[in-house]
Amino acid sequence: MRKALSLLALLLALCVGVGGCALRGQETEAAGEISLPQPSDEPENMILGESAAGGMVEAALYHPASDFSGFSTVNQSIRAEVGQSLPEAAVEALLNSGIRAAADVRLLSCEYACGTATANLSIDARNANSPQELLALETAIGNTMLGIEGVRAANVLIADRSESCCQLPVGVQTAILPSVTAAYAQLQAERDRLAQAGAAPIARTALLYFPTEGGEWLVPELRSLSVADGAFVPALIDALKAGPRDERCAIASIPEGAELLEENPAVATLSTGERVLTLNFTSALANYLAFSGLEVWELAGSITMTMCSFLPELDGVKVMVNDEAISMCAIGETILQFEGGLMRRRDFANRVGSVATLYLLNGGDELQGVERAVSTRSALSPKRLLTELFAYSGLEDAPYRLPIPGAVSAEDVLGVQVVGGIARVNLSASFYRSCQTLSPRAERDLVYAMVNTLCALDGIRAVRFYVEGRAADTLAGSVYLRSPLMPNPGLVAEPAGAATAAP
Amino acid sequence: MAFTVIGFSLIQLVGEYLFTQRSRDDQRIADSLAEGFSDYLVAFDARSMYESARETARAQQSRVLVLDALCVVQVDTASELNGQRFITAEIDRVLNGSGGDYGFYDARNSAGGFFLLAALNGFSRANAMTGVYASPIRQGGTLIGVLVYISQVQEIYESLRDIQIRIISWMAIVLVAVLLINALVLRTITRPIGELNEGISRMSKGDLSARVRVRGNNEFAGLARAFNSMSERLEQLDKSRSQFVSNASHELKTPLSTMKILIETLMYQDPPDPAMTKEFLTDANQEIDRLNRIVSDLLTLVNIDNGMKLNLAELDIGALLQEQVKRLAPLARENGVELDCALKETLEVNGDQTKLQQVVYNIIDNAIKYTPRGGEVHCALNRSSKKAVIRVTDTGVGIPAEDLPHIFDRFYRVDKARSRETGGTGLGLSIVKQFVLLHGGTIDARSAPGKGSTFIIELPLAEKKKEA
Repeated sequence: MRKALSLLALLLALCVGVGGCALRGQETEAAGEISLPQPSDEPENMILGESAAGGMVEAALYHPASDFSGFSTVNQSIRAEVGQSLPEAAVEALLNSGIRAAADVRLLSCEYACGTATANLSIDARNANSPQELLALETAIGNTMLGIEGVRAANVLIADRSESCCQLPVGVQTAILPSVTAAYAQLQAERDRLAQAGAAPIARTALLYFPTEGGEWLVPELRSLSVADGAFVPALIDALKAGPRDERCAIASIPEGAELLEENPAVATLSTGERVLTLNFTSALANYLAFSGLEVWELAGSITMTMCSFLPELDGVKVMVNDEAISMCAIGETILQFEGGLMRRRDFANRVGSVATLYLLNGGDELQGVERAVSTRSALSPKRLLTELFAYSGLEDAPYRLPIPGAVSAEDVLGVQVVGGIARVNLSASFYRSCQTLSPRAERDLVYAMVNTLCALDGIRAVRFYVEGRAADTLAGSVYLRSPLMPNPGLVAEPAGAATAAP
Repeated sequence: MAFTVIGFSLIQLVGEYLFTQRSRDDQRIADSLAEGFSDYLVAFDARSMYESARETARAQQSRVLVLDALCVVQVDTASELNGQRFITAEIDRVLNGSGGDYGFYDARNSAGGFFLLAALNGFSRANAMTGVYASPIRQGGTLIGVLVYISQVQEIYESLRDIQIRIISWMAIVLVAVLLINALVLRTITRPIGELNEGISRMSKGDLSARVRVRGNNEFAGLARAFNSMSERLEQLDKSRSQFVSNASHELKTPLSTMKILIETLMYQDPPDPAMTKEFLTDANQEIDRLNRIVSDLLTLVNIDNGMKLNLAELDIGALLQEQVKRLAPLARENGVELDCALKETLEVNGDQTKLQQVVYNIIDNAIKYTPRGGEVHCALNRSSKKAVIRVTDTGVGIPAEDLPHIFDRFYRVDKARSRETGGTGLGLSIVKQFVLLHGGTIDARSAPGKGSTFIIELPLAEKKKEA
């Protein structure tokens, strides 16, 4: 019996053993001689400052046809210089390529913020021989800017004024128009329709400028308007009252619900020939400003930038309180004075900011995109963006932070060079040393905070890190830095509310 | 054992089929993704790759990694390994120019490659079997990255494990059944044979008391009974032999001792007495005769034991009986015993005349010798069914009941002193019985002490007689 039991146990053990082998037979043997590929040696590349060496972008330049009925496109490689946006570079390239109907026309400035590009042409553009020729010029520039990746809307001004066509505001162009003839015919039809009583409203897209929570910038936002009876000014004021919709770091400039305007605003032509919009607010405006925390310049700038960017041939805005014109206001320590109370677009043009997305850790140690209002230069500059990222992380009360011990500053980013969509970031040795004690997760979060932030910029698809100009394997042993790193969208938590920091 | 081999061969085949099917499907997905991601990887379009990979990963409950040429994870649908280097044997082979390749790993075992443990454990369930499929991402024929598709195959393993458990269960049941049958066979066949073998072994070593336990009522039980019967018989024979040797020695020694005394007496007689010498020599001569009879009887028995051949012939048993009665009539008269013979019919038996004469003579002689003077001895022959029955009845001293069963034993004497006086060797009745048995007959004795005895001899009638 003992022998039988032993035999039984042996057989059962055999069953289990063989069964185990049968199941485990599919498992792959442990890897033997495998090795990771080694990168090729790289020469030292001490990147300093900011450059876009070799950062050529293919752009389609729209040239009006000889009869200004349409366009022919010329693809041209363009390169944005430091501090220059691609739309600006494209328009410069277009104007320099001998465009018809634009002889001697220069680009005075080009605002590029929040996906909207506003080209401000020299007054020479008014020398166009016909409205259609002018329309062709504006549309060519609009099309060219819209052809640039990231540009959602294009606005063309001439000497800080929006030009009309067929006595109607053209508005902001949001799509590439292939035919000038068709666009011109559309405008003519709308003009004729508006002349009739009870005509259907016309649709336009305008740029509204809203102050930001930090009180430093005015950020543009696209807004579709439906205007009846040519009441463009009330429509724009209502839109401003409605407040921002898209940008989470912007706020309304005119309160909704409280009627602060004494009378309907009107556009008048001064003796100097300038067209001016006058807005007369009640004395309650001061209470509103005190309550909302808005500065006077924010209200004035929001209204002036919005109106002058849309209303045809408008030279400026007069903001009055109890029939008394505001003739000066302060932006920080800078005092703006308005002669005769006339606020011009150029008075506030340098306050136009953009919105950048910075990636930082939230309270739950998750990487999260934080939208911040920054200058348009910062929004275009990877180095400045990293500076913003480090600066924001260093704020005492910042709800978001970077997982890096010790203080890091703008000086730790020695330079950034964008080449072929790859931002080469040269970090300082002190930054590298600060990262040595990071945990794998903190290292990952830090690296991808920078990578995701930079890759939110147009034209940057990946980021390659260097330390003091040399290729480094890792910062703390986990994330490999000898390859360009693409952004990690899966690491980012759901968007939270907007956050802006004090300047 | 064969069942085990078949069972696990089956598991192996099913497993290979399931894994092959699954690996084909998953490799196809990996190849398709790799082809689609080529342009995205060149353009560093991480978002497009991530969205597409995540959609596939969700649909297939899998995980997708996109590695660049340096094996740096650029896209991970679980967003855990981004930036880290990742390699397995499959990826290594793809980097070395192989097409798509795959392998299976146990998430508990990190030996599969760098960071594999982290990758697989982060995948979903720990302790899960995982398939890793690597597919090259090429652009214009140049390898620019590797797509890694990781899918769980735990459900296949669990299915196989279910089959395995079922087979093991059945195997255990079969084994228990085999054991039970084995025990039954052991009990009914092997053990009786073993016990029989043990008994034979003991017997071969001289232990004739060996007996086998009889179990049940089957053939083995019959065999055990036969063995026991045989061993009993052998034991009895052995005892008889011993007794026979003892008796024979004793019987042979007795006349020798007597002769030795007589001769020694004669030797030391000085001067010799002629009368005494003659008397002693006469006595010695008688002892020699007696010794001679004993030896003759013993030789007769030895012949019987060795398979004595009978000279069979049809003979008239009644005539034979009358002849012997007539032969012993003088002795009866000398002893004062009345001897008669009654024959009712003529009966023929198939027998050896000499042997049957000796049978009848011995019985009647015994009856005369043990019947006191004035007594009677009656002989009779009659038919009983197919047998001739000879009855020899005397009015002698009779045989005690305790001796009656042994009177046919060799050297058995009821009254030893008287028996020797009558010149008996103690072998007469034993020889008689053996002769009767050789003829296929029987002999029986009935007796009442003080009243006499009856010996009944039954012999089968001759067949020829019957046909006539």
